Amino acid sequence: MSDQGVRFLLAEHCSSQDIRQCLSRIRISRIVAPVVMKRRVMDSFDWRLFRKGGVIEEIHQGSRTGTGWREIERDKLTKPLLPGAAPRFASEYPAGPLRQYMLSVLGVRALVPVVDIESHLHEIHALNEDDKTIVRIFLEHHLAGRPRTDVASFANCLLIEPIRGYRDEFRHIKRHLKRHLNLRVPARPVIWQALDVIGRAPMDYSSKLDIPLDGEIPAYVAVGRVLRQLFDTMEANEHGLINDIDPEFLHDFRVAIRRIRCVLRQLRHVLPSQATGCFLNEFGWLGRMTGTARDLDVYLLQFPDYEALLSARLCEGLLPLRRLLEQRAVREKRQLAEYLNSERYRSLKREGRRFLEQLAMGEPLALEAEKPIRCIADVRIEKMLRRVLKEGKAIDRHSPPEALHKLRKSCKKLRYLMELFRHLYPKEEMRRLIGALKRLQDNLGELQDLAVQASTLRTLSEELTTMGDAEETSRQAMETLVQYLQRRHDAVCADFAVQFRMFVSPKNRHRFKQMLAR
Amino acid sequence: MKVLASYNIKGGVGKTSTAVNLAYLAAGSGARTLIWDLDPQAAASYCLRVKPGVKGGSRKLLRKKSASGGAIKGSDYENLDLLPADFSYRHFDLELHDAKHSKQRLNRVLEPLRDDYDFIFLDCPPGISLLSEAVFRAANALVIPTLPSILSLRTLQQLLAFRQEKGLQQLLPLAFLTMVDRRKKLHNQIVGARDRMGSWMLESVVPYASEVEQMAERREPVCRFLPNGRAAAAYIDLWDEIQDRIF
Repeated sequence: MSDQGVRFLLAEHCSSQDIRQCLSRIRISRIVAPVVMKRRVMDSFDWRLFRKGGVIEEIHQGSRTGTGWREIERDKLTKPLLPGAAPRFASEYPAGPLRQYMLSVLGVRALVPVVDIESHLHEIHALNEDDKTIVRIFLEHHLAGRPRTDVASFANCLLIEPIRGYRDEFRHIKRHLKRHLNLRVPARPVIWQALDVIGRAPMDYSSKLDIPLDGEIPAYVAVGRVLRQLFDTMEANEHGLINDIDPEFLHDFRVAIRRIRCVLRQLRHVLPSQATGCFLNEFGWLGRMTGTARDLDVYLLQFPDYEALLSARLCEGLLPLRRLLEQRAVREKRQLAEYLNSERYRSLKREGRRFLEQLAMGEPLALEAEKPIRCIADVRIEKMLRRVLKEGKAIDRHSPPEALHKLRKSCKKLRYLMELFRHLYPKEEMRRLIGALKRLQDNLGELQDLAVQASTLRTLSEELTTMGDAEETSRQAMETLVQYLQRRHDAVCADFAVQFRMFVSPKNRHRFKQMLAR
Repeated sequence: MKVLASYNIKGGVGKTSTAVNLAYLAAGSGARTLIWDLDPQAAASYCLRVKPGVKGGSRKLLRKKSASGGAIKGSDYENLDLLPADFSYRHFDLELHDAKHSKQRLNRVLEPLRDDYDFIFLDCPPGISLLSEAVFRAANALVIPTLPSILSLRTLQQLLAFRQEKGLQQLLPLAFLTMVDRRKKLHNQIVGARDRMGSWMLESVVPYASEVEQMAERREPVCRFLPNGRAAAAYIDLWDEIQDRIF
């Protein structure tokens, strides 16, 4: 398609007539009727599209509405425009390349409005002797605002866009306009500037932990920073959770809580014991209150996989189960929203913030609070690693499921510690070790999920039968699923020994040793 | 990428109008679109205000893989490009005859453009020749503007028989009635009978309209200069129906 256009910043008073006049010295031109284009920039809450270099835009121009994919750097729509408003989920996009791409990038996340941009465009065409357009020039006046609020002006730009096959003409016109209109190259793309206007920075949220720490700083300062970020993550997800925007809000909320609990427990000698005990109790409550809703989300997300395992006839038998899960999920989410509006939760947040402020001021200090964080991190990671090794080695094929569950929890704690303090250690070694641990965790996680799912399915099947909602096909479908889950569980279980051996390989142990010895 | 050839054995049936308007509509919906004007008369190039001429002519296009990309010109419309006609295209058959794998040659020319475009429209010259056979192998669908006359329908039957005989099952024939004059009894009879003709005959009908003839004068697609006219409405319906069939 056409070559890349160049965008310049323009003085505010410059009109399309000025540009045309300037152009008239070398070319004839035509002014196209001005248009107002309103764009609602959309991305997932965690900026998944932005990280890939684009965003979805819902574009309103006159009476028409369309949805397109805009590349941020080139500020250009680069995938076919879909008619109508932007669907929220990737699965709601019509079949085609955009849907495929969205499924791969967005996953189960919903699109949420990020910023509204209003662009007043005056288009000027430079023509050749056949009245053929050879270069397009756009005088752009951009305004931006938070979604569904008033917009404020932020940039006047001139976009010079070449047309394929007319490169020499483009260069000539660009040189001419640049010289006569005193054009400057903008530092950043339009969307970045629009985000500035509303006081947001791209990628200002990520569920991944990324806390730069210096190994020499006192432990209480480092732990304070870590807890503050985890608190921020927890609070950032509240809105999406209460409004049930997508399942990842609940997931990230729960992970933040688990990480907070891990910090409070594992680094308790750095923190005042009285406060730690109280917060552990309260975050434990919060974790329990969110557990069922998350389980139901997981079942519903896995439903397509369940259906893929069954014949079309048996698939229909799963409908009562799906309905039951959906009803319960709605009920649980409503209940959860009530918890998040309760005084107990509000008080937890209030007290938590106060505690963080006190910690930042360095009071009240605990036993190991002043020690360098690197020393504390070394000890905690080593201890947790030893626990993982001990628990893992004790497992054989006769071990009860509880032993695997216990190991899974220890692995999680080790992972959290490693991720929290990753900046204290050599990047590459830490990346490799986290990768190795993740593979073991995947195995243990799948084992746990399969066991819980099989048992829940049995319970739900009995419930549906008692309620009289399960016909023979439904019972058959669920029984087939339970059998599949059982078989899969056995296979994954057999793989555990291999995965554990790989994690505790001499190479990995050596890596841990080297890393912690520095 | 979908390749759609606007084709008929007969001339003067509106192949260029069809290719230009459908390509314009496709581009307008945001699809990256190219028209290749294969007719040495260069009517599509003229309608889009692009000077005909390809460096090295048909010979270079057919023999050098990257030649097509360098010859493409952007149109006045976003997402719509043109590979212009060249007078040397009158020798296309000879060039193909001399080349190895002659019937696959067009496919090879289009191959490097596969990732650049969502739709490629081939505006074909009339007749049935080696070039036509190469078009049939390169295209996913043949869009066949057909006059509502007995002889035109007979020609269409010949074309369908040819497709069958050559084993071109991958090629979807999509015929539609064009230049329909509702004042004529025969036209009305044929329009009324089109749903009994076979699945290859589309529902959409393009009326006889002077605005289509104005395309050459205004050098713009009719869907551009008269978007609310009868002809534009007919092309919009036709494009909707074609999309339903090809996806």
